[in-house]
Amino acid sequence: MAGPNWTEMETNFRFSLSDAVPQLTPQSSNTPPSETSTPPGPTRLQYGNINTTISKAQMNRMIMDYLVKHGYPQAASDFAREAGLNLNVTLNTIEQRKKIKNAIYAGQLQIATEEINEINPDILEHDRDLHFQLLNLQLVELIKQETVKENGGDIYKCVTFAQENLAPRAPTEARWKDMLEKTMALLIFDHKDLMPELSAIMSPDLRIRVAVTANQAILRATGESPTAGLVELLQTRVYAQQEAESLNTWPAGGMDIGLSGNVGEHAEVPSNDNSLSDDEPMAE
Amino acid sequence: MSSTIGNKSSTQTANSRNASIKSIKIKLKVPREILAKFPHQKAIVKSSEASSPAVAPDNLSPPVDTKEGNGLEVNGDKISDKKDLPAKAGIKRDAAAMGSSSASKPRSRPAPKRRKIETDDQQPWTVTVTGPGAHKLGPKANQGAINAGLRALDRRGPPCRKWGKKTFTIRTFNGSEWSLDHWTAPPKTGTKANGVENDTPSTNSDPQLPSSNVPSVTSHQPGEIKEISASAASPPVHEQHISGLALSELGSETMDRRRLSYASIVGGTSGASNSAAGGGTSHLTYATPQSPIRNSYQPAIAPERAPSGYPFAEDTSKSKYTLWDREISAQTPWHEMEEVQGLSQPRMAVRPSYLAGSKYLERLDAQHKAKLARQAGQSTPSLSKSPSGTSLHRMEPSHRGMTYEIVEHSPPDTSDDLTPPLPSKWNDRDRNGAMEVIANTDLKFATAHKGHDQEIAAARSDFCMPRRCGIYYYEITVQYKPKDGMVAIGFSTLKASLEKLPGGENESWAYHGDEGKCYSGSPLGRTFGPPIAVDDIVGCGIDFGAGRVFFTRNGGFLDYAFTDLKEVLRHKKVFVSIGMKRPGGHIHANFGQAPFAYDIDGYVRREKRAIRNKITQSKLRTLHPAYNEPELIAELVSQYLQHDGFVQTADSFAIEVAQEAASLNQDTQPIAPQTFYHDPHAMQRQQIRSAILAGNIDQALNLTQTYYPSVLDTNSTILFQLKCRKFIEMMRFIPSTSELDLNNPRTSFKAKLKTGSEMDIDSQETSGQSDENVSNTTLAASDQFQRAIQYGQELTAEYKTHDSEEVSKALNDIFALFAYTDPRHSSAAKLLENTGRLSVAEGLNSAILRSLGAPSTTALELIYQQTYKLLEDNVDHGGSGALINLEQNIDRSGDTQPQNLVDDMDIQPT
Repeated sequence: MAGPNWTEMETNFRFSLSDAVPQLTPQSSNTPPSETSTPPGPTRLQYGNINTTISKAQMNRMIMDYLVKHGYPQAASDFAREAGLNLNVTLNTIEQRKKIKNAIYAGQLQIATEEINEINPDILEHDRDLHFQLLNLQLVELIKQETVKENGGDIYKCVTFAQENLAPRAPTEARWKDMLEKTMALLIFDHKDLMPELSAIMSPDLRIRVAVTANQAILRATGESPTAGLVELLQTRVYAQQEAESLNTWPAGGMDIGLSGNVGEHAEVPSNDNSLSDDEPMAE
Repeated sequence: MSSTIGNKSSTQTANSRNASIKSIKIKLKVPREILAKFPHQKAIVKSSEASSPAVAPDNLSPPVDTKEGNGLEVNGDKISDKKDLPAKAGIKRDAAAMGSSSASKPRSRPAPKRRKIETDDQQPWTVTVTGPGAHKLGPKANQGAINAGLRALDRRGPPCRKWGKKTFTIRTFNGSEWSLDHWTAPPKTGTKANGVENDTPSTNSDPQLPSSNVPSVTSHQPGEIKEISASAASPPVHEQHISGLALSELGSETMDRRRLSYASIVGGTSGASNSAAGGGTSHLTYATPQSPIRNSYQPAIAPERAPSGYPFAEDTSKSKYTLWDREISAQTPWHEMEEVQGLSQPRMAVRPSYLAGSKYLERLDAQHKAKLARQAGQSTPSLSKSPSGTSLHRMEPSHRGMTYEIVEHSPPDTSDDLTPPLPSKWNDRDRNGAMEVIANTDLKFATAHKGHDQEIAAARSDFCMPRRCGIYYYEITVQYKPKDGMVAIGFSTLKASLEKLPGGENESWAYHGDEGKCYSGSPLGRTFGPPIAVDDIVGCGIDFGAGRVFFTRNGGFLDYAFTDLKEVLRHKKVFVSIGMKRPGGHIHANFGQAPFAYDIDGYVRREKRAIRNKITQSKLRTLHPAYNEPELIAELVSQYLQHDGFVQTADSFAIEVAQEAASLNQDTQPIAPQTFYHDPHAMQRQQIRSAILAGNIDQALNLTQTYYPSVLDTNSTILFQLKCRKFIEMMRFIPSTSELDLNNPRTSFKAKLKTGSEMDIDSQETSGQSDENVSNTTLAASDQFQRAIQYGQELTAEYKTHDSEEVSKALNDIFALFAYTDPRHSSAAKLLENTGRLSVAEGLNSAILRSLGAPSTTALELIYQQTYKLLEDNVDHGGSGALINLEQNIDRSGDTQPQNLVDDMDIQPT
């Protein structure tokens, strides 16, 4: 941009003073930056006068929402300060959910269940599906623990747990029954050579799924929407992609989501990511 | 009326030109007041015509050259051009000037003049209108207060082209001749939309004006001419409160179209860029001998209101076919009509409940708001910017002596395609002649007088059912139905004939009420539902995403009648269509203006929920194969935080994510405290951001100047925003005025700003005055106030050279804070909120990022854009994306509202 650009100003000024219109972007770039990074295809990113970009304020709210809902208390409080946003919930509730999440991630289901009951005993009472999933995961973790042991472990302990906690519930729902059967099969097969549907139970993905379910149940119990807007955005993106594929409007080159290290599809997004990946301090 | 200065100069130029060239058009600007001083105008005028005006403005006379004079009285419009004698013909008068002049000028003998013009007017035309649709107007036909009021109101706005009249002669085989007058618009005169600058004299572009055989009226005293143009019976009208709303209050049925066109004048949407050509012929539709039925239903005012009605974008040559061909009218670009309509309506007429919260309605609202804003924004400058009388009120008497104006309108914005308006009434121009529209929403199949009883008639809605609303629904109530009559409810494209029932022919689909069958463009119906009886409420709903059509009856869901219309609905525009058999039937339509009998809201909710469920089933893994769901999100968030300089947050987030990963991987060892690499730029940007968020704009400016000196130079917008914000921050510090003795710099400053913003006043002078004024007050609080004032003046001085509407509007907005004794509790309080800081901060941050060559979007933002675009495409291609409101779904704000920052929050350089 060389020199004052008053046309640009005209188009953008309205955002600055009245931010009551949050969907308008405060960015003042003349060209939508995304145009460069969107692969060919029907890539009309501007729809008439409709702005497809999202405002930073909206982005920030979305990030904030995510940090709160997915249990990152420290980041949330820092972000509230840095971005000038209000933290409407107490840090304590985020803290609690973080603890539960991490407990489930770590396979400490006993702790997680207790914590959930501490927040509100009704949660497990009402969400029987969540309860069963937690118990089932607990059984999986138990089996994992025991079978890893040198002497073959205490399989009896696992069976007792299943009999006491899961067996009475399982028949009421076919899904639960199926779940329990698969879990119990873990006791029989060798864990090094499992069929895919059983190895899925052993993978951390199950923990993540249960943790997400638990988190959503807690959020729902406190009257909040269970899904963070950010997650919803990503889901909508996936859905829209599927729809586009079914309507044959999906661009042949696909669409890169512009994340560094995106080896999957198309490296058409050049400078975009390189500059960022250098800055990326994330220890994964 | 022009100022005296303008008058002098134009007189002189006129004089000099007159000396050199014989036949030149001379325009004089003569203040009415001055002219009024002369009791014997005629004599003076005549004498001074011989000796062209040379001396003082007092001595003026309009030297009218003969050529001009000839054309003049053919058409009263010329005279009305003349009467104001502005520099530019064809432009409306300035409202203020007009008002004052008419007030000061005693009216003298208007009636005889007028009569003369009228007779003159009729001569050249020798109109012999035959057929039942002769334009006979009774003596009382709208010559009274309505027209007068309109004329008085209609003093502003850009010029419009005038209609010219042609005679269209038909010689029949037996030798008799019919001659029909035929109205056409002159060709487009330019692309300049700005009315003030458009000086194309439309007198020149009136192609059909015969300039012969008309006695020349060379000397009209302006005041008289004014009276001619206004109707003789009307009293002088002084209304100066011109607004579309005020006008619409007058709106009787008669005025309906006139009002529409007026509104677009106010909106400044006219201008030569778009043609209103065909409209001139539209009234002939009523005179067509071939449409006797239609004629019989047209009220006498039809010719009068027609030309200002629906504008056509067709060219003139084509438009003459409108005379006989209904199809042309069916091809009218409806979205252009919407332009007119939207302006005329202070509020949106139809807001169906089932669309609440939809993206479509949001856009419609936004569009509407923008339009109103445009209207407001453009009418203001047109008042202030036309002091030289460049806007001339244009009225053109027809051969009947009636006057009406033609209005053009700017091309519809592209968004109109995306957000076409909802159907709101029956289209008076897209209906069978026998179908009578009553009160917009009722249809009556009338019995014709002359034995031509039609069996079948149909009508369509004004706009198509918009695909973008996802699901469209309407209902009709059968008010009356003759014994063997029937009602067909459905929809059709514009191709479907209105002489037949919808459903029975191509591109129409309907549920026929006689046997309860549904038809999809073929004579073979499918048994579908019960017959439709009197008092039944029948609803029709289209689910564009699914390509299904269902009907309801008396609040109950009947069934899906058509389920495979996806392709058709994707490509065709379909309109609400009702057909009736046997005259006498009467239905009432509910386009959403009233609650529906069927719970369509629930239907839409269910559909939305189904889609929502599908969305939540989506597996994020497909987005990026390398990450599982939480990893992917963490990656995206972390990238955003890094990119936008939320340094501290990025660190904490990284730690917390690492903890998570550790527990997931059963990593029992405690996480080693990590040292993060911090981009120095990120730190600096965060510093600048915190300064703005704390309201310390000066520090932010300094920091930016230090770290990124080029940014502020190249981003004038941002700089301006920052400066405005600084001013707002200064105002925030000022205690409410009740604590101040302000008798008062506030108001005086306001006054000064006003003049300052008009850019007429030397800024030096302005600031000097204010220093004087302000120094009177010695209170500490007013010290701050004074500082704010000074800064405000600096701002005004700095930006006054930028003649940008946005800039001046922004300045006016923030200076409005002065107007309130306590701005914090005023309507301007929104400006004081901290959200403004956020947007300025983010704007600056983005600018810095761009200057660093970094991409200004992160993956998350990119994903948002992609999703948005995909959904839009989805709607375009007949998907169900219209039922997804992305913005709403992802931003359920209220969870995290912007906090109230403490004013003196310390800057934390992190």
